[in-house]
Amino acid sequence: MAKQIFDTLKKEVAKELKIAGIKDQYVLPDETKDIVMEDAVGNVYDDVANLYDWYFDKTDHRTKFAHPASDAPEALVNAVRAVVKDDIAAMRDADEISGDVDEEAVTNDLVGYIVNWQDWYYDRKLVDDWTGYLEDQEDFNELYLESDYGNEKNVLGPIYNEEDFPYADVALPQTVTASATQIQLLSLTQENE
Amino acid sequence: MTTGQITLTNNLLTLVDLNAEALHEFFNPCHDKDGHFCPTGGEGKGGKIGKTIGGVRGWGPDGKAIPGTDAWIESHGLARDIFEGRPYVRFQRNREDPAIQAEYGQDKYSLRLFKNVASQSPGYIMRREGVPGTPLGVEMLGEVRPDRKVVLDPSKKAKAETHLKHTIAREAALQNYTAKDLVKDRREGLKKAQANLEYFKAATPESLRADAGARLTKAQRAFDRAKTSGDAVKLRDAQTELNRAKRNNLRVDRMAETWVTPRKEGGVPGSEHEIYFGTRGVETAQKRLALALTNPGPALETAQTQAKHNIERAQKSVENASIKYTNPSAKGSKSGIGTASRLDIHPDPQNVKNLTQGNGRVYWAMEGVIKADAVHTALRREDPKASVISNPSVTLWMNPETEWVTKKYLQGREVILLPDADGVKNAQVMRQAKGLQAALINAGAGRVVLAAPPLKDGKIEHIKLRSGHPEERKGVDDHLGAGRGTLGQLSLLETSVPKINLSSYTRAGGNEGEHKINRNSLERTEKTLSAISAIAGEKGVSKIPGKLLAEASEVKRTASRDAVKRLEANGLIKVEHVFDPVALGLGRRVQVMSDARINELVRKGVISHPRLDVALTGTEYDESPIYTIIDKKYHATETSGHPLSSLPTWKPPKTFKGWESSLTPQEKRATRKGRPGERIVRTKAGAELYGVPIGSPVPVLAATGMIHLEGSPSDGETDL
Repeated sequence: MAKQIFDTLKKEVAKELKIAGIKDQYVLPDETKDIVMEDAVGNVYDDVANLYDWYFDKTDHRTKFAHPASDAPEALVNAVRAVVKDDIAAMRDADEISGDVDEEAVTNDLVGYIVNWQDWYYDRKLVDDWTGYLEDQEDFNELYLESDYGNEKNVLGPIYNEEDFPYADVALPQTVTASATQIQLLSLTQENE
Repeated sequence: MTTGQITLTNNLLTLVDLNAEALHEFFNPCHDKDGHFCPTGGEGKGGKIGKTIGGVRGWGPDGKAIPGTDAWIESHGLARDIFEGRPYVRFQRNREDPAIQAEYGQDKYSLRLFKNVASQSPGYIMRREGVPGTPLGVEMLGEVRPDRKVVLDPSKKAKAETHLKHTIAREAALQNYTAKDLVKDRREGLKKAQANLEYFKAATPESLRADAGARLTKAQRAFDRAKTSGDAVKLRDAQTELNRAKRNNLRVDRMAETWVTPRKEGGVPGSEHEIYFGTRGVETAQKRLALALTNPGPALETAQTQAKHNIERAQKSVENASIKYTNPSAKGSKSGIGTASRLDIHPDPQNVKNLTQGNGRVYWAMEGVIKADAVHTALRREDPKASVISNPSVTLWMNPETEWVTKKYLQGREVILLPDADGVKNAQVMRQAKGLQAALINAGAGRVVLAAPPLKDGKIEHIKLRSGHPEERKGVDDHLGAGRGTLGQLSLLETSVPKINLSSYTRAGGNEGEHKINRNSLERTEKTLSAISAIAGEKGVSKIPGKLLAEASEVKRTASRDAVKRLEANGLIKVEHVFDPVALGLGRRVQVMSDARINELVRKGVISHPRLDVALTGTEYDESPIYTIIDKKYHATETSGHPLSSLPTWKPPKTFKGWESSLTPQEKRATRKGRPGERIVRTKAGAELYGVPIGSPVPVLAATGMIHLEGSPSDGETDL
């Protein structure tokens, strides 16, 4: 029974996301729109299905996007409601929560989280892909590939070109003006360059 | 059959009865009419293809095999038909080589890249083809293998050389350090750590956003200035910093949201988290200073050892600036076609059939197509139901195709991962290989093992080519070719992960303690711990980047982070950082791990020596946490040292009698020299052209007053 309600949720999430589709500029060269859609569905579904990991932790960034939305399909609302009920029960079982919980309010928040997925999913993908690229560079800088030239100490160089850093063309949120603190901080950090 | 005759009559050259193939062959002995690599020719025109040694032709004066010759393909364990079937397309040292234009002409970034390569060295384009049915399409741009290392980015090389000079100077200075000098250094380090702590104590959400924004603005301005200056070094640095500043902007924005006021009662505001790390940074700096004051001898020794390691790393960075294999640029290429991470399969129909319709073993070459083709050659005799696929580097498996190919073709099948022999001793290679192993198993593959060329007394074995030139049994192609090895002789490494069952941590499992695992999160938590165990191996400790952990666990990255928190909260793992991860995001390296623990992890081969004396992260990325599995019952066990032939499923055909040269007997016959006036047919194309078997002589083209044109065949040495 529990597996079925989660499967239903995933199906409804997929239906909802496919209405808007995936924006072109967030598809990397080793992806297709279908691949990114699958990733988006997976991320949205995971966050809702695993609400116990974040919903009640107001320090978690995801809570910013969990608020009611209007005009959500009834099937989606029902699917989320069923999962919320099951998850809250699991949280009580693990002593992760006590007292009354307004399950309907939680449901509405999470439906909004799904419906407004574009508000957060692309930012998350951006940061995850950047981070992944840099992690790969870290590993690659330590590695040496096979070499026909010399000895095992030769490192053969990065497979990643700096130009391939993802999302060069995506417009980013900008914040504002320099502060005295920043200038001071940068001057400290640049001493050892 | 084509015949032809060239006659000089009254100083006029008359071409009689020569068709296109013969004409092309006469003037272009080393390229076929489509410009493909001449099957047995060596580099360049004129048919010079080296000496014959040991009955095999193609040895240069230095004893190395000339690329593309029989000597070369045999040394790498390749069969001629597999080599030609890929194919490997030759390009000359010429920016405008037509092969480069033909392959990359539609992709301006790759074209620019490979023109740069071709301007420095001749080499090969190794054609690649996608696995049938792949969602990214089978079309792919080839990988390039120059004959010699090339420098793609002179500014990077210049910067690396400058950095090397600095590290050498620093090490030299430390050799002359007194205790007083070290104390002065450590006091400065403490001052910086204190400034970092004060920064976070005084920070507000507005100042955090402003500072991140200022970094972005400054980076953008520096980038704009660098573009107009034309200084390649400055431009490169500015691009790197701009990319990092963009990424950091988003992270700080999130951090600022809950900086002061937690939204939940009893929650922790972000500022407390940062002050905690800042405080630890100060404590670490104070301890280092105290050590320098009270125990200057060992403290100085540690600093000097670290400086030596920094030199090694800097030297590697200089070597890094020259590369051997290059892949197309992903930038600007349409989906899938230009990326290095694509999975390749040799288009040989039997290989493809064995993968897509068979249920035999699948070999996964993790170091590119030459290795894959060597395995392909060997498995035809030794493991004929098997197939082989590859990607260019051990780091490049974390992409959507890996999961796709596993679910489509590898369900329940035995998979052999093939790193190089030296990879087995390299922490980063093993981390990646084990990550792939875990991901394949989690996605439904059967038994997954690693197999590498065997070591001798724990070291890479030195072998000799036929010419006597020294070589190493490093890659699987070296092993199967010059090393005269077989697949069965590859050395097996299998990591067995215990079945992870955490149900005892749930209430239903009997846990009445304070910390329980939520039953709905059990599966994901178990998968994550299983992945950590697989990657950490017997040691039970490993540095694991977030992306690697998520891919190996087959969960989304955010879900993986949540699972890690849960494991940590339940005392199943310990999570450590060398540097404060959030400070790193602000461009500062604040050490939060003690020197003693760092040295311990370095001794265990978990991490390399981090750059402790440099504040800014530069182009390195140090955020990956170090995971330790607390309870040894969750540690993996490793079996190694046995040959691949010890697998219970290993059953080579009765016809297999051990290593044989990958050259066919006809090809070996064809290597014999022709007598004066005689030409020998050495290729299938030539055999078809003249209607005689390979190895047969044919008369020289009859001519009156033969003219030797530049690049034309001479001395009976032509390959036909």
